[in-house]
Amino acid sequence: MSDFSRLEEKLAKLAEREKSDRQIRRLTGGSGDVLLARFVSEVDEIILPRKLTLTSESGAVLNVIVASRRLQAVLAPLPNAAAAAEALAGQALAAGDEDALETLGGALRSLFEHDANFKVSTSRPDASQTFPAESGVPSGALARSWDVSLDAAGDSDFDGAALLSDFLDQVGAEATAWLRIDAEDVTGQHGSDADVERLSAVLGEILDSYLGKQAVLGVDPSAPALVSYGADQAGVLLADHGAAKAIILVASGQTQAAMARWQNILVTAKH
Amino acid sequence: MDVTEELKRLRQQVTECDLAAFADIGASMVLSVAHDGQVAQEDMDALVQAAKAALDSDLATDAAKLFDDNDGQQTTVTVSTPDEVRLFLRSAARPAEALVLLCRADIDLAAAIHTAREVLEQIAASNVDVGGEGA
Repeated sequence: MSDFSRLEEKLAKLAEREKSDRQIRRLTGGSGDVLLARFVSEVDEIILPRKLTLTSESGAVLNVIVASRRLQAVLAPLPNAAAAAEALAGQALAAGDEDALETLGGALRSLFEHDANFKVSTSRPDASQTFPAESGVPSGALARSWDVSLDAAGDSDFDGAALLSDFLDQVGAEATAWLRIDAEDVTGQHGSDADVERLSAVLGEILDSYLGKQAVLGVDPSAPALVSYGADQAGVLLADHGAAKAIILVASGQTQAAMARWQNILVTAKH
Repeated sequence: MDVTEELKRLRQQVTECDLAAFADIGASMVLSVAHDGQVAQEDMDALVQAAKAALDSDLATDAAKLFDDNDGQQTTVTVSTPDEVRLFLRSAARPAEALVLLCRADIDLAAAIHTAREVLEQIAASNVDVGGEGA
């Protein structure tokens, strides 16, 4: 193993910074109001039309349609909901319809008081689940109507260390070299001494730049991400899930094959 | 050439693409966008900022240090997450111009990059006629 002492000093500083920046997607561990606030936070993060699904440990499933940070509709069935709330299912919600919002807010509070641990997932809505772009209630209006403040906390659905191990095992055919980091330690390496040295020399700078740009790039710090540079020519991949990270130097023409491996691993992990 | 029509065509060919935007990253402006609905100005601003962070930032410069034959400019950047793949392509002919694609996570990346690259260079090679949004 090469001497990574200088790199690890830099990694220790970055790990501290990252801890304070980390955001979590799972809805868990709070009162009904706290979970309702986190639900609104989820709505606030979605731009393109998505079906947002919350699944509780007891099996309750809530499906809603969100686009442009607006809650457009709730889909039937609403778990444990009264008839008045059920009547809202499948209907486009409108900003300003306070009666409907009050009814829906009550149903969601009741759901979150009954179950306190929800897995969050998103998917592209079916054609029958698409609503007019101008419909829906903006997240800010939801928060005001339901008297909650935006918040986010919880744990990720993915095992970052295992995910990265799978990827590094599989990417051997495309990678000429890689370095793996867990927290502030370099825990694995692959490739020639010269290539490992090249990676080591720039990894601290790359991570520093990357962590400062996660949000604008659309990366949720609590979820796994792969950033790739280069397509036809040699490529550089940065794989990231919380404390587990890797930088990978990819052979010429192999970048897309390596990215496809990552996609396959993520799809498998999601199911 | 009507850029919006080209972006619509791109979305028809890359069916996993939810949104395609043509941007001048030098001017920090989205010039045209194709999407199934209207895109709010703040979302277009966020798209161009993402393109700048991917293609024109210290992150891009740092990554370029690992390429033997790089000219310091990144041309293809992807950001893959469990829910989405973001694709950023810089034009070779007009380096200030770029395409941004927001796609489903199960996209065929190689095919998407190939198609998007062709469309981008066709746009860059033409006298740009930027249409409206919504496709």
